[in-house]
Amino acid sequence: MINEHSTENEVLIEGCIKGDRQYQILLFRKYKNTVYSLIYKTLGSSYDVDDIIQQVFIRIFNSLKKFKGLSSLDTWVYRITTKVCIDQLRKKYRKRQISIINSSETIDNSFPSERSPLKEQEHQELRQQIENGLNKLSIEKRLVVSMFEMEGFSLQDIAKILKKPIGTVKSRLFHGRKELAQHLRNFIEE
Amino acid sequence: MKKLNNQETDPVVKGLQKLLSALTFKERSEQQWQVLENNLFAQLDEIESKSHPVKRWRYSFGFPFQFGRGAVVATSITLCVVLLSTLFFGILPHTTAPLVESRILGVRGQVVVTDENASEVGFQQVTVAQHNLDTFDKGAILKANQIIEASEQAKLVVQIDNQSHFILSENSKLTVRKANSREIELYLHRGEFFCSLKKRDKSQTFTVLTPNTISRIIGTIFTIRTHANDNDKRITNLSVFKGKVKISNYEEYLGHDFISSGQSIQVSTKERGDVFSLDKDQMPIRSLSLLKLLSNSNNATDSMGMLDIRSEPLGAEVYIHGEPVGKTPLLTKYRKGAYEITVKREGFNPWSSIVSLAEGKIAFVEPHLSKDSSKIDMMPPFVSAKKRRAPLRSSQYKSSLPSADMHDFSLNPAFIEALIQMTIGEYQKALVVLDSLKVIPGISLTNKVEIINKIAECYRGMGNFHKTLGILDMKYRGESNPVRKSNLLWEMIILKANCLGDFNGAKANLQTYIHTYPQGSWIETAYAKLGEVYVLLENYAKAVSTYKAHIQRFGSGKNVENSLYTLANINRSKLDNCKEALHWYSKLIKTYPHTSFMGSALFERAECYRAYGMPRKAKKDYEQYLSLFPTGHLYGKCRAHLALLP
Repeated sequence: MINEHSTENEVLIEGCIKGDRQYQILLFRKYKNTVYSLIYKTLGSSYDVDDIIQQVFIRIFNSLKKFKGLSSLDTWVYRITTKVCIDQLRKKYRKRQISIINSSETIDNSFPSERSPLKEQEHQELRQQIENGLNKLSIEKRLVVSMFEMEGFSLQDIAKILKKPIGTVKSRLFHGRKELAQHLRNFIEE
Repeated sequence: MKKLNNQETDPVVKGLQKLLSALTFKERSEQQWQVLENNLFAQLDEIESKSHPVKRWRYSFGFPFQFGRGAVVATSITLCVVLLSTLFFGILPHTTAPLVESRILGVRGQVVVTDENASEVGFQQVTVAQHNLDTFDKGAILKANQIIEASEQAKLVVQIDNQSHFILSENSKLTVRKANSREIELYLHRGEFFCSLKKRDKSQTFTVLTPNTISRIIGTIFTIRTHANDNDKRITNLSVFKGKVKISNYEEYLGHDFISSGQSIQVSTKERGDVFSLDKDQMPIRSLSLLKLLSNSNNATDSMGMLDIRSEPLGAEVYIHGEPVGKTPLLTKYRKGAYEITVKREGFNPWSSIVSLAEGKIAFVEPHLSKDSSKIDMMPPFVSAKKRRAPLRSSQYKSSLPSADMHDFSLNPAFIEALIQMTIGEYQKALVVLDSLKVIPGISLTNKVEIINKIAECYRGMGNFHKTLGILDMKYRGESNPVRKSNLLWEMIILKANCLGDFNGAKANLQTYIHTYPQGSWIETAYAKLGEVYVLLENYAKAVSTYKAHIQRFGSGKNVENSLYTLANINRSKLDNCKEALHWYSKLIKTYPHTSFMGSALFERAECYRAYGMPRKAKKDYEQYLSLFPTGHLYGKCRAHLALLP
């Protein structure tokens, strides 16, 4: 759960506000993995994840002095991340660049998988289908579904991060799941 | 923040969850993260440098207020002040002006400077060398995005401003991340960075990063070393010689430490490391001296340069334009110009070269002296010994110094100051400091002894050997430890024979040494030296008996070869005893077939045979000499004498 009282975070925040590079590096290293995971799972592979991670952290460093400590640092960092993700999704929606199928493989520079080539191909296909399904959801539903189902946030945390009533989050999750399941019906074993 | 309520009953949702949980996403490699991190912070730097011009002014004027909503008026006032000062005084607060005073002072070996901003092609690479130092004008070094790499055996001395300097040691790589009057940020990839920094004011920062640490420096003398060990684990060592340095490990946030003067810390990847006191052996006195001399020399507006002379082996005499100036290692200031430098050491070929010294620059002179095998061949031993007037080699002086009793006191700043003064040849100044330290109330006996040792060294450096001897004698009388006592006695022997020419005194001390310490560390040498002293006192009978005793007792000692040759020579040229001389020459040639005395021994034996009426044997020796030493200095004589034989 979110740790509301952390002296380490206070030190970190203070250092970052002063513009101390050392503390900025620490903050970056602390949150980089979670931020990356959230971005990747929310947006899919068609985005320049590196660029978005940079945007998130630049926004964090620039607006840390506005951080009032009403929520925990974790919540605040995720909130900024989701905001940046929403901005990205909106931009993409506006440009009607929905298709991700062609571009999904181009930035894959991960380590070779241990799976067999056939399994790997199936996995790739599934991932593309999930990304396609997520793309079909509205931004709000997509965010809640990926945060809840893929990133493992609790409903309470999502409500805090998105600053929405828990009922709204629940409703978005319910409808989002339904739409995604409909899209992936061929893959779901009942 | 991770758990969810996973009590779904709907099979479709369950299926969806199963599907989504089976999905794996690619992991990022450490390298990818590093690239991202570098890009991110480079971007941040750019944003910071482009934005907030007002903020920079605020820093320059030292106004502490923040630019919140309520500070608009104050901001306006600041701007007005800036504009007015610009109008009236023509001064613009260039707080982030480039470093105009930075320049390369000296270089040794190969140092490559890569400037990523230098040309449109992308980067420019320049190899810095002694001869092209002038191509690096003021401000040409220490610019943002420069990479400075010192290869093996290389060294670079750079001036940051008129009172701050750094030395980049061999096998080091340094990237200049920021360099302006307000902020200097250096990244040491590997190697050693030694710096003496003038105190910065509050708005100025000086940061040195290594792959695992950040050090903030306000104004101090320190050294940072970083390397990866066998397990690729990053290790950074910070040693502080003056002032304080704040260091933190940023790989794993483990807080920060303040390292004070005389302390050192080792920070490795996941350990904060303990702070410990610096060992005397860790004191880089030589570098400290150089930095000290540099910061002093910049106060003067003279046209001086600096000569840093270090020979291999050390302890060689240095002559500038034929005048002796001291022994290596030698650090000394000279006016700009060309100097003929000669470095000589007994038993080695002299080295000589013309060195040109530029104003404000350092010239590194580092000759490797080669062993001289022909010199002994050229001169009969007694002539050379008499010329030398100092039969005991000075190198033995140093090794004879007891080192076991040197402790702690080395970290006292005044003491370090004295050591530095001693290294740069300012013995008089060092003596003043040491004299004041000696009388500090409550000083321990060990420390007092060490100070007295240093005082003795100062007197020695000043050429006042009588005073040095007086101190040694006093210590010798007061010493109860037999090992230390024997070392002190040996030191006195060397001083008397080497520096004072007091051979009678040396003889008496050598006799005492041989008698009192028959198992002493210098016993074998003592016999040989006593023989030599007798030769110098022209007491040949005693010399012969001493050499014989030496050869008998230490059949395979390191000085026996020398003794055999000298013994043969005494018999031949001083006692006219050809029979004895033949015996010892033959023994030398037989026992040491590779001896450096071979040429002379063969010739002298041939002369003996000739005088003794054995022309056949003489002929054989002459011929052997001619075949073995066709360029030997006795070649002509040999041929002439051979022609005389029937």
